[in-house]
Parts: sequence; structure tokens; C-alpha cells
Amino acid sequence: MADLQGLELEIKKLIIEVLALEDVAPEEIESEAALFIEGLGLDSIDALELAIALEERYGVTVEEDPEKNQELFSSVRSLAGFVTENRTK
Amino acid sequence: MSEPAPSTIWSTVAERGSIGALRFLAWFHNTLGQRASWILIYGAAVYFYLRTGVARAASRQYLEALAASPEGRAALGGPPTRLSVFRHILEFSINIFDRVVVWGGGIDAYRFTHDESGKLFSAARTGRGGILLSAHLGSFDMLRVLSDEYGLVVNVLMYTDNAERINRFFEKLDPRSTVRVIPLDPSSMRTTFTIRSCIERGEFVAVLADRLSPGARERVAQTTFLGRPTAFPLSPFLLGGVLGCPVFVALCVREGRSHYRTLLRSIGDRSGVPRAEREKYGQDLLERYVAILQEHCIRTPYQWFNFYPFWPKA
Repeated sequence: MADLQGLELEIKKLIIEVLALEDVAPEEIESEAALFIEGLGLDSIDALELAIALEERYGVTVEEDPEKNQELFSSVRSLAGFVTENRTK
Repeated sequence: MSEPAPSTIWSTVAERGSIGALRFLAWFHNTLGQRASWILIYGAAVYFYLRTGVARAASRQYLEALAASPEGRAALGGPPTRLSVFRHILEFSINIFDRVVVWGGGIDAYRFTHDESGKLFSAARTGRGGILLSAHLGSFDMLRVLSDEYGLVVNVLMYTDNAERINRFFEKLDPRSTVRVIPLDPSSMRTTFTIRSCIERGEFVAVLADRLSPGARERVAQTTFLGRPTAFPLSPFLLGGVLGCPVFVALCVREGRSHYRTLLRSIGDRSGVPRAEREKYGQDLLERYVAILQEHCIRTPYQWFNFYPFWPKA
């Protein structure tokens, strides 16, 4: 469980770095809160950038499937779960 | 006339499904010749001119912006008059007529020349896709036809709920067609991931990058176009940096009777743009794009087809 929390923090930091959200602290992003449209208000270019960064960092593959992605990018927690299951590095 | 975006026209035509009417117009053109076709073209232009005040006002606004620079004024041969507004609308009428004839299978009646297209064709040969930034300038549709001819796979991004229907329509019209419509849906994450898959398959993704989308929340970039501060959508210009693929400006303008010229100019091909620089790279691409638009507004001043108030508070 501690690992998952650590991973969530890592992903929050990655989101801030990738999307240049300088004025946001990792603690301010809730693990279960919505990231896109509502929540942090990120858009689909942000999602793509984040997907590419996750692929580089963890060796996962984010596919085109819109329904899966909608769920995957719904929160930090769902991203952390996806990375845990699929990471190759 | 109030909304001459290809997306709208494609949707409308596809919805009515009037392939028979298209074939008739193509037949009319091929059998009775261009001279007879002028009757239809002028008739439609007169009708548009008299009926659509919005288009007349928008045309004048554009022509005045163009005439404010010495080159633009020279291109128009003086300050805009009612005649220049009519000429502008006439050019649009020709544009639609030609498009319809080509849809109806009359492409053989047209001649095409290509400018600077080498880079795009060589990218396509080596299996590298790219982003094609087009505009409501000249005939976007002629590019579609061209891509069919050269076997390039082009995916066209547009706001529509009818992507499936439009795709079926073009398939029916030309079973060899390699053009597909991708619906642009700002409220979901679908679009950008679809774009990435296309590029990874070595295909091209075309987008009309000169208009903000109606009512959608999107990133906006400011620049100067024809001497006026103008807002453009930023996202199309970010894709090249994010995906690390070549970016081209893709236009097709009418050069003369039944003669079109395509311009496919490479404006950027950087991969591995650091994240912190992507927005800057996007803005650079926008500046290059706008410079090419301006060049063409001067070259073919009557082929700018944004017949709505392009500068809302200008």
C-alpha cells in the first residue's frame, strides 16, 4: 500500500512537470479527483503528453481505445493502478 | 453561405446523400462545357450576394484588412468596392462548383500543378506521416482528391457528429478513397490518441487551423494577421512538437480556369522538443503558417473563404 502511495506521488510530480503546472504542489492534487475537463481542467493534448511521459518513464503502452482512456485518465489513482499492472521499468 | 466550412458542406451533402445530383453536375460540366457552367456559377454568386448580408460584411472586412497594406492594395488594385465583394463571392461560387464537379467524378477536366511538394511525398514514401495545416483559403477539397491520386492516407479532423455518415458517403462516391474523417471532440480524450495512431501508421492528419471552434473551450494563440490582432487555435500547432512529426502547410488555390495549384510547404520537423519549449515551438509554427496565409491572401486575394466576422471586434 505504501508503494502505491509512493507511486501516486511520483505520478503527481510527473503531471506537474509535464504539464508545467508550476503553481500546483503535489499535495494539492487529490488521488481520486478528476484530472481532465473538470478537476485540474486538463485537455486532450495534456492527456497525450502525459501518456507519452508515462510510456517513457514506466515502459507502459497507452492505447487508442477511448473508453479505456477515459477511465485511465480519470484520476491519479487509476493511473497508478495502470502503471503498477503494466510497467516494464 | 453563412457557414461555408467544408465540414458543414460535407455533412450537408452527405446527409442529403445526393450522389445523383453530383453526378448530374459533373455530367453537365463535362458535356455542356465550362461556358454553360458559368451560367450556374454566376447565378449562384448573384443569389449569394443578394441574400447574405453577413457574407457581404465579412468579405468587406477582410478586403479592407488586406487593402490596409501596400501589397494587399496592389493585389486588389485599389480600395475594396462593391464589385470586389461580388468578385470575392463569385470566387467562392466557382470554388463550390468545381468541388461538386470533382465529387461527381469530373476530375479529369482539371489540371493540377504542385509547389514544394517534394518533402511531403518523400516523407510519405519513407512511411512517415505528418500534420497538414490547412485553411479556409482556396480549396481544401482539392487536396482531398489529390491525396486519393497519390495514395496518401489523409485523415481530416473536423467538428461533426456525422463522421461515420460522411465516411460512408465518400466511400460510396469513390471506393478507392483514402480520406477519412476523424471527429474532433474537445470534451473527450479520444481525438489526440486517434491522431497519434494515424501518425504512427505513417498517415497524414489534416486540420483547418484558421478558425476557433464554435463554443468549445480550447487553447488560443494570439498573433497578427493582415495587420490585425487575431486569435487562432493553438492545439493544431502543438501536435507536431508533442508527436515529433513533420508539419506542413497544405493549401490548394485556383490558378485559372480549371487549374489548381497545391502548396505543401514543410514548416517544421522537430522531434524531441523539450516539454518546456513546446508551446514556443507551437507559436513559431503558427507564425510561419500565418506568414504563408498572408502571402496567399496577396497572391490570390479573393480565395479567402471565411465568410463570417473573422475579427469580431475589429
